[in-house]
Amino acid sequence: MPISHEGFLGHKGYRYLKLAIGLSIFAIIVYALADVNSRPNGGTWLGYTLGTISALLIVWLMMLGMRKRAITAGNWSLKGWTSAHVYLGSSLLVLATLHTGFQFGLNVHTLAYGLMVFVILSGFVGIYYYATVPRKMSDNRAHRTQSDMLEAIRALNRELNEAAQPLDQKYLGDVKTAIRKTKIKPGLFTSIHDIQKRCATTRASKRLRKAIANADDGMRQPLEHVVSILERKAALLMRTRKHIRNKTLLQLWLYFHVPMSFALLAALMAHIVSVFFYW
Amino acid sequence: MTIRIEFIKRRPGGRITVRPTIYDKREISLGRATDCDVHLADLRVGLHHANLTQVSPTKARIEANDDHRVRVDGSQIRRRDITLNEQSVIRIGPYQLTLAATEKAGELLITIELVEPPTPVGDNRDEKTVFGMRGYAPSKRATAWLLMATILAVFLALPISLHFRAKMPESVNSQKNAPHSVPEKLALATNQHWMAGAMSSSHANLTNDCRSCHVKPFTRVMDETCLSCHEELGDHAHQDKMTLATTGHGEGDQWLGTLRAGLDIPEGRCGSCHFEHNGPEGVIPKETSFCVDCHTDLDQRIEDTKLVNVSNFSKRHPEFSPTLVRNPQSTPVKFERISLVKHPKENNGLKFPHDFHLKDEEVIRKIATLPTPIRKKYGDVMECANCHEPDAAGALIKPIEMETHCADCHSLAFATGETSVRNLPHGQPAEVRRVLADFYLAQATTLLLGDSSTGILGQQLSAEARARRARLREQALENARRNTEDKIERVFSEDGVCQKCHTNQDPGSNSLPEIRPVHLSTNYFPMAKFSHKSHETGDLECTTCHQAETSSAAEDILMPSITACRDCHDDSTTRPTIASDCLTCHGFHNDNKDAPPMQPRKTRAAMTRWPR
Repeated sequence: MPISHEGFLGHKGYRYLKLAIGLSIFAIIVYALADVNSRPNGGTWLGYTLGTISALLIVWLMMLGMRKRAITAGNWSLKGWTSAHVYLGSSLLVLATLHTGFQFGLNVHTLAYGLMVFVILSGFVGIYYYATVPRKMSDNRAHRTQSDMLEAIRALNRELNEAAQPLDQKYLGDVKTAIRKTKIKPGLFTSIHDIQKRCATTRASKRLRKAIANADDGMRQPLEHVVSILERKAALLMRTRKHIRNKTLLQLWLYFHVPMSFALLAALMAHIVSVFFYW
Repeated sequence: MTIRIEFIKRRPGGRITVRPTIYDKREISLGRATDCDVHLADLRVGLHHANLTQVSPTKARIEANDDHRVRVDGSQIRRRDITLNEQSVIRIGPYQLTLAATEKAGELLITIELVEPPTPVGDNRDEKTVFGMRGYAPSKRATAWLLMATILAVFLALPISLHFRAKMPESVNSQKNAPHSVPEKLALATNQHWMAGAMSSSHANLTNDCRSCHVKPFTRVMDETCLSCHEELGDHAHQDKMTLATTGHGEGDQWLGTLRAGLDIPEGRCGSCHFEHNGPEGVIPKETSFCVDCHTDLDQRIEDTKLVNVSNFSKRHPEFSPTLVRNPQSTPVKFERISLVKHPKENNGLKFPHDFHLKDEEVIRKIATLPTPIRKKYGDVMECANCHEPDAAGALIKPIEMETHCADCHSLAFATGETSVRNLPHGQPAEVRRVLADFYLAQATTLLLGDSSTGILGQQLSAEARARRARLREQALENARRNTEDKIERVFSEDGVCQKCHTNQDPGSNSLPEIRPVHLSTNYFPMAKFSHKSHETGDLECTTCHQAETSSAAEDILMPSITACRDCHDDSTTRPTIASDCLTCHGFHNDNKDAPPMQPRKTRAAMTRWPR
């Protein structure tokens, strides 16, 4: 029986999406019809209103970080909160843009706006990965936990160590490198495929497999044994690295989203204070 | 000869287990291979790593095979003889071997212990390191703090502290007073990144000194600050009229007024209409709505208003009403605004046919008779610009003056001497008589010069001669009087020089003929600003708007109708190519002193009192 799962995006029948769209359209209509003195600007009655709503919204959105640490029950589930965070956060793109009255420049005000846009866009990246990565991740993981993976690699290394004991000296170098120098964690900017190709384990298994043909009769069988272990290890490493990559994709955007939202909060404070300091 | 091998294993808790093996031979092999006598399981150990031979009861020899090495007391060797009581330490891979003689004669004891961990297997890094973000990105918390601190310091703390500390240039924007010290430069730079938008062109000189307007922190720019430069600015109208006109724009406005009050956006201050930091053009609001909001139905707001409702220029703006002189005799001269719809005539007291001056051959002939330098001024035919000179700003036309603009042709000379030309004074009929009387009297006096009866010569003359002289004098003076009267009559007569342009009026008790006073309008539209200079474009000529060529009388109003303006100024399109908003011609602040001076604070107080 298929398990029906409603993600945070579709929470309560897209309640917050509807709210965000409604809010945005309302703001656009008011902006178009509003009778403001001179040109649209952050300092008109509509500008102040949109600015106040946007600033409060930003502070509330940032409280998701606090909310997710507090386990509470009730109507305000974390899922609902996240759903609202995503949709109301997106509506800021409309509200805050209207607040600017499309006046931009090289100043602290546009800095705050730019940071806000950056934070929201990084959030979109996060949503994209949240929507696509977990399925790939669980397919790849095949019910193994992270510690399972590490333990399996350790076990294979031990097995390799055992299996390599009868090997002639000339084969040992590769095996030892495979055991000692195999780096599990891939670099941030290298593709898994490249890492796999350059990995000590893969290289050892390839070289030793070639060596089998020319090996002495006595060596052939232990070599084959070692190579089979190496190949098993390479396959496991592949899965592990993919897992790390998937996990990174799920987390890396947050390393921009969160610090930049704090930068935004600072710029927002500077924006508000400066505006009223030089009223 | 036997060799006893003891494998020592230290258990946790300090317990030691010993696994002995005895070989009944002098030589044993050591290595990783299973066929070695002593199996040393570690990949750092060679398959058949070394052989150990008992040479004598006190000596043993260790010999490495192939290209392996054995470490004895720290040095890598291939082969060495070892004296047993020297307590030498032999290392093969992670294993440590010590040699000793046992109590049993001829037996060699080899103690083997694993002193290093075996070849490390597996990745011993913890799960967090392998699967976490360490090595990929600095911690979120650290980055967040760093960014926050930087932004708050640069964009908040620095500008605020510099606002209070840095000495800013006294007179702004002059090179001499440009900021020199580091804090001043910093203050300038940081102030600039607070600036929400470019300054208007009229305030561009204040760009470097925010404090010239923003006097008190957290206080809106005060009207007093504006008025400290913009002195004696007139208000738009009287306050009670303004209050009547601006209030009660329906429920929406009441709601908006409440909202504005809630957001603490006061109305009626300078800054309620004039928004700075909106770019070069920004500070004067050009929106028609500013005016139209009140003027579209002003007659409903102020019942006794004389102003006609206006909502736009192209469709709903009254025909122009030039300010005309209707009776030049009244003192002071009264002006009257009459709409061009009524085809009004002006009565400025002058006779002047424009068409005649611009085209008639008589004028051309007259110009031909003028002296060369003057003729050059006019050319062959007269043009508008010969008399109508623009003012210094090029906006309006200078007042016409007889001496400057007419006298070249309409000379008032009545006598030509050898060196000078005598002219009648213009504009002073009473003076004309005196000038003429003086002139003819002087003529007579010249004739009689030296003819004095009181001098020595006179006393010598006979009585008859004296009587004849007296008669002659009488006659000369009489001639002078008569000449004066004749000349006056001629000058003021219908064909006289005055009546070319003027008309006489009843002299009343005065014996001298009176000229009707003349008063020319200098600004027909004082409520609108107009610049001829900005209309010097395309093939526009004077006569495009002013129908002078067909005007035969000074009574004609040559001011163009609104339709002439509307040909180009069309605000019916959403984006007029030529400025056509209210402020193109009108100003909000009434500088004609018809309205009280601008006092925003009072206005504001009056407005807040008014029931919304």
